[in-house]
Parts: sequence; structure tokens; C-alpha cells
Amino acid sequence: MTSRRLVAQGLACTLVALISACGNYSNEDLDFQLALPQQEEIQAKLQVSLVRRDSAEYYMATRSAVLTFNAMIVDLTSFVDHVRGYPPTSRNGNQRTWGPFPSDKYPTWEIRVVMTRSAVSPTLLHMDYQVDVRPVGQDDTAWVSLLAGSYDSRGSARTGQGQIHFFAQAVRQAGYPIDDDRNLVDLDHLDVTYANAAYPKSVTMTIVNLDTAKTKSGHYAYAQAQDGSGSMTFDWHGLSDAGVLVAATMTSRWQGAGPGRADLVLEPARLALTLGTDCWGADTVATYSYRVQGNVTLGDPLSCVF
Amino acid sequence: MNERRARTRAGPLVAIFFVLVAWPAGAAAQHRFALIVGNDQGGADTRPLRYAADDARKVHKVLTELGGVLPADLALVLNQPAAEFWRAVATLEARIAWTKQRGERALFVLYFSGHAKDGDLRLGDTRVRLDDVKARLLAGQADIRIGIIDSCHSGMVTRSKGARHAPAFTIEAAGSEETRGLVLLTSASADEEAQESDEIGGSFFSHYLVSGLRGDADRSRDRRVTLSEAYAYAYARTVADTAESAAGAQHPTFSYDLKGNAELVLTDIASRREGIYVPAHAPAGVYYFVDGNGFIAAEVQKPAAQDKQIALPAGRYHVRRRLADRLRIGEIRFASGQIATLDEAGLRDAPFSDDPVKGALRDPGARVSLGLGGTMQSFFDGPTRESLFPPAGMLGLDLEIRDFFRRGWMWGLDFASGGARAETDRFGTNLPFRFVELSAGTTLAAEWRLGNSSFASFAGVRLAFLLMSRKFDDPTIPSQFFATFSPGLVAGLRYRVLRHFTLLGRGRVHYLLYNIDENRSLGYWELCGGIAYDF
Repeated sequence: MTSRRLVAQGLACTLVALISACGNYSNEDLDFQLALPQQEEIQAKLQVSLVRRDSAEYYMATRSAVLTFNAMIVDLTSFVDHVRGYPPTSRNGNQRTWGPFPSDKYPTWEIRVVMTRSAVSPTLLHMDYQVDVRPVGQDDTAWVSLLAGSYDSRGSARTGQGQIHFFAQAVRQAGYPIDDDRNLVDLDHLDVTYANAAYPKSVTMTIVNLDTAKTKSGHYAYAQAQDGSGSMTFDWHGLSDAGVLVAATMTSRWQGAGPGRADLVLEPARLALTLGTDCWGADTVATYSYRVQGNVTLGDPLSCVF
Repeated sequence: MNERRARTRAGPLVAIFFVLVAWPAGAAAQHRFALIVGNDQGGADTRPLRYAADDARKVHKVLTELGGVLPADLALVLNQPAAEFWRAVATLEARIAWTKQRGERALFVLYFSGHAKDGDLRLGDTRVRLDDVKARLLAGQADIRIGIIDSCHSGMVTRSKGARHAPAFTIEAAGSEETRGLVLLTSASADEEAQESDEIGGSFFSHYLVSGLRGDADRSRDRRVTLSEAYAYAYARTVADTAESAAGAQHPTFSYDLKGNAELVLTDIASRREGIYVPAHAPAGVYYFVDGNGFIAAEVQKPAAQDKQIALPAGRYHVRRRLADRLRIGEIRFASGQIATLDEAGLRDAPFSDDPVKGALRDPGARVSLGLGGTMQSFFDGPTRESLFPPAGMLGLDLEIRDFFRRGWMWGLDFASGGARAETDRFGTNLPFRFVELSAGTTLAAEWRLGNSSFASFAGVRLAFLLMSRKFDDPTIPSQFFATFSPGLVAGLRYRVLRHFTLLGRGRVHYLLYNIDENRSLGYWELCGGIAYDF
């Protein structure tokens, strides 16, 4: 066989194999990726790195609440962050599906993520998404939603308002081993809302526990102003040691440079009772402190920035 | 298509010593020598010829088969430098001197096919002064020296001798003495191009010279072809066939300084009873006999009611006779020592597309070039261009092989890489990105030389493999890629600026099936400019 014939046959074979194209080069996929909440967009901004032995007590309580809040945001968004870095498994008009994939943590379960887009106008985008789980080998009717969310853009694809819902009890009832995480054994469901199109940016998180839990619910409300100042209100509803339903609310406000104030209020039997107040400076050390128990007052209340 | 091509060989004559035999009755036996030189290359300021070496091979063949030249007395110098030429001249001169010392008569033919310019014969990058060649012929010891030069402006060599371009010449028969002296034949006048033809696979002059020597020039029908018969035939056919060419009519010339009365017989058809006989009752016209390699081995112009015989080596030949609206084609074969009679009834009608010459395969000698160029690519669709695949500039390498699959075809491989900065807007969010593209393509194109200029145009098809990717400035957006094959059309011009360098301009139009979000048929264009080095 001549070299010319070999070359000609090689070219012919190549021509036959040329039908398909591949890749993830897509403008529309960008819409789905942009609509997913980013952790840093919905996390609370507080200078949590500044801690001193003599930091104000309520500053430390605020810091702890912010860290807990942010950790739960990370846990939630990590579900969708997994799909942000990968091309969809299938595309169907305004719907993208990732998976099903076997769960890394629970190999007998598999996971899928489904996102549905509806463009209201060229600058307004609505997106719904959900993370479903099911036992391996089951049909489509076995899918149970672990997480669901929606997003409406305002002004740009990355700014708008959205919500995330985590259905712990629903997947628990379906057999999903969610209770392997000790932090979730009392959780019924968790809801997050956020709005970042304009200042003040806000994020709320509502935790609803099972009826059998001592702590019935918790609520975080975070707001961030354009000048870097922020606030967070976090409250808990639960039974006291005496079996009385009580609500504790801490309201914290801080400036971008660090100084802030926090007030703790207890609402037993519909009676609001301020338990204490702390004001702190940029170094987080208390400049003013008041505790109702013992009627203790330290510092100058005029030093409070709020 | 009868593509004619000028041989840009200026100048002086290349002496072609063509062995002719003075074959007068009663003449003493003659020892014949021949130096056959063919060179396709002519140096930096010339374009390569296609058929110079082929023409030399044909002349070599007819002289050994019918011209009485023994292989030991013949030197074939193909695509060799001047040193090889002079070495062959010296060797043959020594053999001629030895022959003369034995008291034998000697005839020496020098045939040259190639470039000539500014008084030089061009042998690749080396040169041989025509005056030197001419002086060597004049001083030669052979009784008869014949120089045949097939090159552009070759008439310069005969001009100083008072040459003429005339349909024929006659050697005076003033006495009984044997012929002695020098004859020079050239394929073109001093101011004319010598033309090649793809259809006949050679230069017009050499083609008709060979056909004539094989018998078609035998006007006297004595089965011998004399120098004057061969010249008259080659002159008439060359002028007729080139009259309508872009380069204009080509007129062979001659000059001679001979003494004696013997006719110079170049080939003896009767000596080799092997060939094709065209009987008198066969239709008049031009018959072509095409060998197995697609070469026209011989051409016969048959008058009405007159037979013709052509001497050819044993084998199988396609026969072609061209009519106004069709071809008459057939096949004829004969064994060694046989003369086959052409039977008109054995021919059949065929369309011109079945021309055995055009369809024949031959080894053209592939030519390779390596190019470097810049390409601008842009999609036709506006939204695609603005947000998906932005216009991109690329740098690339081209490897092209010409006359590989077929003469006049070019097969190329190209690789290019480039990119651009761009941005896309999604619901008010601006996303800048860096677009990068790698492409590899293969092209199959036909080329046409534009007249006798250094321009050539080409058009063909191309298949490209594209790998396109983009990386967003926003690190949270993953990089994207798209890989696909893309068929397209390509056309362009090339212009040879130097012997080895060609400027290139081309345009491409491609189809691309984009199937990520949805199936979309897209098109894009590419404009490319570059320079190529021809090996």
C-alpha cells in the first residue's frame, strides 16, 4: 500500500469521526452559576479576629453568634458550591441538572441538583434550585428534597434576593442518615433569606427544631450598611430549666472600625427584661457595661457609639 | 484544460547535442554520442519548471531506441549542477577523440532542456555560459555536432549565426562528400518564451520533436526521419499549438554551418519493427498514444488517405482522437518486435471527461512548503461575536504539500493559536474573560497559476479542529471550553517573491455546529496573510 493511500485513508477515517462536539462553553450556564448564593455574600461581616483576654463579654457573645451563623451559611452553600465548579450533566431548555452522583458521605445514597431558570426581563432573573437525595437504585419518585432555594436578581445577575430552605426532618423521615451529624439531630428545618441588591444588605436565618428539643427555635437577622457598620439580632426560644418557655434576644450593632454595642433582653412570660448592656471600643474592650443582676455599672455610658 | 507555462530561461543557447545520424547511402558507419541535459531548477530569480527533466528523459529514450546511440555513448544529466555538465562533456569528448583516432566518423548531439537567462544556461543555482558551450561545440572533434536548446529566449544562440525561424531548411547537396559541421536548433526565438503544457506533459517543442522522431515527421515516407524533417514538423506543430496561448506564438529557430551533401537522418523507424501502424483508410486527424504513466508517448497527425507508422516500445497504449464534440478512445497493445495496426472500429466514443491524458496518473514530484502567518477570525452572528466567541487574532504555521495526491492539488496542515480579551453581560453582570483558541486544520485545494505571472490562485475545502476556551477574571466562575470539528471553504492567492519565498493571502468561510446550550448553526470567516518557504 502506498504512503499516499495510507494518508488518504487516514483522512477519510477522520472525516467519518467528526460529528460530535463537546465542552461546557456556555453563556447560559453562567446565569445558573451567577444565581447561586456565594458564601461571602451572605456571611456576616465582623472583625472576629480581634480577641483579647479583656474583650467585652457581649462582644464575645456577638462574635460567637456571628461565627456560628457563618458556619451554618458555609454548610448550606457548600451543597450548591459543589455544582458551581462543574458543567451540568444535562441541559434542557431552562433547566440544568447535575447528577445523580453517588454521595461521598453516604455511598448508598445519591444526589442530584436541579436548577430551573425563568427570565422575567433582560435584567430580571428568577431561579429555583433544589438538592435532592434518594437511595441508590430507586426510581425518580424516590427523590426527596434536602435543600431548595430560589433567587430573584435585581439590577444584575449577582445582586438580588433569595431564600434557602433546608429540610432536615423530611429527609430524616425518608431514611437519609442526617443524624450522623450531631449538630442536626434536633433540627426540623432551616430557612435563610437574603437581599444584597442595595444597602443595607440583609440575611436572616430561622432555625426550627423538633418539638422534642429543649431549644425550640432560633433566629438570626443580620444587616450590613454601606459604611461597613452592621447589626445582628439573634434570639432563641426554648424551655428554661424550670420548664418555662423563654425568649432571649441579643441585639448587636457595630461600626466598620470596630466599636459597638450589644443588649441582652430576656422575655419570660411576655415580660421584656433587659439583662445587660456592653459597649466596646475598637480594641473590643468594654468602655461601658451594665448588668441588671447586682445593678453593676462600669464605665461611661456616653462612650457608647450607639 | 491546456495549461501553458512559460519557461523563463533567458538566453543563450544550451547546446543540445542531439545525435543525428548522417545516414546517406554508401556513407561510412557513424558512431553517435549524445549528452542529454534536463534541469527543472533555474536559480533564485526563476520559477521551477515542471517538465524539463521529463523532456530530457523522452529525448534520451527516443535516441536510444531509434537514434542509434548506444547507452555507453550517452550521458543523461538530470537536475545536476554545472560541474556535472562539464564532467559529462569532457567524458564524451574523450570518447569521441578515441573514436576519431580509430578512423570512424562521429556525430555528437547536445540536448538541453531547462532555464536560460542572460546568456547563461541555468543548472539549479549554477550557470554555464552559452558562449562557452557554443565554443566547445565549434571546436569539437565530432564530424557532425548538433545542439538543441529548449528554453526561453534560446534563439539568442542562433542569432549571431544569422539564424532564421522558418518552417524548414534544406541542406544543400553540393557534392558527394560526407556531411560535416555544426547545426543549432532552438525551441524559441530570442525574444520568446518556451512554453510547457500540462496536457501534453512537456514543452511543446520537445514533445513535437520526439513525436516527429518517432515517425510522424517522416514526410518522405521512407521510414527515416531526417534533421530537416524533424525540425519542420516540430516548428509547424509548436507554432500552431502556441498561437492562441497567453504567451503568444513560439517560433523555433535554426542555424547551421554544414558542408557535404548527405542528409542527416536522426531516427530510423524501419530499424525497429515495433510500433503502431495507422492505415490509410483510418480517419484523418491527430492521434495521441498515451503510455501507462499518462504521458503522451507519441502524436500522429494523419492526413486523409495516407498511412502513418510510429515507432514505439512494446506495451499497451491508450489511443485518443479528439473530435469537435467528443473523443474517440481505445486501447492498442503489441509485443516486442510487432507492429500493431490501429483499427478504427476498436475505438469508441467518449466524453472529454474520459480523456486518458487528463485522467492518467503520473508522479509529479511533491513539493513542500512551510509558512508562517497571522489570521483574523470572526463569527458572522453578532451576539455570538460579542459575547460568546469574540473576534480573535492568531499566529500559525502551515505545512503544504503540492502535487502530492494529484498535480495541481495542494494538501495542507495548519496549526494556529491566538485569542482576545472580551466580556459578556448576563442580566446586568459584566464578566470579562480571556478567550484562547487553538486550531488545527487540513486543507485540500486546487491551484491555478494566473497566466505566466508569479501569481497563483487556489480554492478548496478545509476541515478544522477547534479548541476554544475562556477564563473569567472572576475566580468563582469556572473556565469553559468547547472542542469541535468545523468544515469550511478556502480560497486565496499566492505570489512568489523569491525563489523559495511566497507571499500568501487567503480567506476561509467555516461552518460550526454549537451544541452546548442548544443546537445552533454558526459561521465564521478568517483572513490570513503570511509568508511561506518552499523547500
